[in-house]
Amino acid sequence: MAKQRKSVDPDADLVQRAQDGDTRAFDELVMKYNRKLYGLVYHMTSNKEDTHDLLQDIFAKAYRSLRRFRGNSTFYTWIYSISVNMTLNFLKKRKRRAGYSFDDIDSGIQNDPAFIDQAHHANPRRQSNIHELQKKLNEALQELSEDHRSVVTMFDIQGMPHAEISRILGVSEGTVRSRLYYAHKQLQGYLEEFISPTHSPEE
Amino acid sequence: MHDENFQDVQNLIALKRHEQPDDAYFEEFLDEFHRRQRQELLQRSSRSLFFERVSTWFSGGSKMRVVYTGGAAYAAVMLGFFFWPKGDTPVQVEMNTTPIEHVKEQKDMLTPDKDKEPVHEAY
Repeated sequence: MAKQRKSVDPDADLVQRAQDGDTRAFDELVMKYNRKLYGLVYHMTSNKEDTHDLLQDIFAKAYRSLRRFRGNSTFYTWIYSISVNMTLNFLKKRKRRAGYSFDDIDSGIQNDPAFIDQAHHANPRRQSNIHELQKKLNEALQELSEDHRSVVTMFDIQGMPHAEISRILGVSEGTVRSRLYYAHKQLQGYLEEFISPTHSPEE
Repeated sequence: MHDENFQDVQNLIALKRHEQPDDAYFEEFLDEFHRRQRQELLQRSSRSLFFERVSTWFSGGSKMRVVYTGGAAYAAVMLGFFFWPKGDTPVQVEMNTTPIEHVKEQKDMLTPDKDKEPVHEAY
């Protein structure tokens, strides 16, 4: 069974080589997944420095644990699970830290043409105020609980299917859908002013 | 419950997928990963490495692992208990020898000691 799963894992060869001590193979895995994992961690923490340090720790942990990876899931699911767990633990610690503020919410994105283009398309009423929209999006995400934020990040931002999210979080698909529903409902309240009236839920 | 349309909210949230650093960041990221790995190896004590390996072993999730480890620990304690050298038992030795010495003393009192030279007091 494990062999069958291993054969469908696109990273099986790299993982095997890395387990045999080939550090270049692990480097390839880092380069393959660091963008996706950066997105996951950044959207959960909304802080660049925290994201950077946490991402380094995640790959270090994965490297140390790699020999015990048996291929019962894909490498992708495995490293995502490590990332989600470590990020949730980090957020719990950060919550206890007094005086934390989201002072370095990313402010460079409003100059990104792709973002502006999409923002105009998604929000024609507010074409001029991209920065406000971006700030509000970050604040809205931070208002969600960690569990809700993680499913919104994986589903809405990273485009992962429900089944994959349920495997990563170790919960049922029903739980994933339920968390998404309540998170969307909450976000709708926060982002009301940015939502086009033709699609507003009042109608 | 899921009939409501959240498409607008989802479209807005999806905008965040553009928030990514440039390619140079990710290339530098790998270099820093190597630097940190080397630094960690130099700085970490063997004890912390041991504890991390133990915790990683248990976090593997298999219940059999916990059973095996518990069994091995129990076996180690029991082996230690049975094979640990028992050198310090002075009370037992004294009790066994006392009556024998007492009998010998009685015999010595009845017969003269030939091994010892007679003690003569000096005049």
